[in-house]
Amino acid sequence: MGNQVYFQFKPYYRKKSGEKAYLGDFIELTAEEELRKRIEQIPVFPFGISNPVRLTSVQVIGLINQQVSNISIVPIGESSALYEPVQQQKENPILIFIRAAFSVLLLFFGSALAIMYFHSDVNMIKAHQMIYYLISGKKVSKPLLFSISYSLGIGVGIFMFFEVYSKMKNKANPGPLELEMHQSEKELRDYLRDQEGKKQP
Amino acid sequence: MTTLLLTVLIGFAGGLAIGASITAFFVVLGVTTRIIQWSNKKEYLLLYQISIVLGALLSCLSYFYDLTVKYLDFLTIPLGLIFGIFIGTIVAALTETLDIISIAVNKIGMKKWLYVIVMTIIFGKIAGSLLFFLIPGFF
Repeated sequence: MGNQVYFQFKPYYRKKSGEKAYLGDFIELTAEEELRKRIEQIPVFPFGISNPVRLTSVQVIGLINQQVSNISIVPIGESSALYEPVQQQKENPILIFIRAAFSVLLLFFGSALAIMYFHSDVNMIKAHQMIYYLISGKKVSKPLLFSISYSLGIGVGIFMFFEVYSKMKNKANPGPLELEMHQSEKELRDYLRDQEGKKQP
Repeated sequence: MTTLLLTVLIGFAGGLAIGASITAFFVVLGVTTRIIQWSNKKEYLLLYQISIVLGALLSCLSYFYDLTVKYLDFLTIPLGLIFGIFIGTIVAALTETLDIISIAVNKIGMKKWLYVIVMTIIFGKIAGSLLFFLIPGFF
């Protein structure tokens, strides 16, 4: 048996639809320079991909064996991966603006309404009167000073929770929201990959 | 005597259930973990736990017994801010746990605008809260 070649799937596909796809676009591998170049140049989709495609380790091993014999190929990591072409269409800036404006309006008034609901649901004004009585000994029906500083505090609390300040300092630093979005994207990719796998006999 | 025993028992049981559930609520939402992370001192975990318990006890006392310490008016603004920050973290944790923002942003395809959206939510919350307390007739 010749030398061993280890390979694993790349996490993302970087070519647009219609561009010719080689094996090197999908996998990384360890081999001698010459052999590696030869394997990476194996064409997989001569006309590129337009839909998401699923590759399995068995398919990759088959492709390599067609071109190069006398090596043993060892896959590492996941046994299959899903790749989609890079989206390239330019969107209309007016449309983007309208969508952004709509979501901003929706979120602004939605969160304003939600916090009011919350306050009357938990009888927040009673709690404020109680706290104000606790610290000052005065029974006031509207402890405005307390309520206003409390309202500003809500903003500060959300600001701190989403770590917006660390985002301002360092753009690359992922906040909890980015992690959450990455998680949901990953779940979507896994789902699509497994569904694609069910279709193939 | 039976009445007394029964009252104590029922009261204690109710308190146990409420205390456990409210703590579980904070812990599951990740509010306490996040706040402890900000302090960067995990060694004082016991202190944090004790402070949670004491806070709950103090609020019970003032809720049921008309307790007041008087003449601490200067604490109004800082105390209000602290209460607000805590409620703000709970609100943010709720939105995060329910995946509202991430799903919305993914669906509309506006990843770049993520922090615009967060800022909008922040201002919306402040505006809603101020409206609630300032405009008469809301409560």
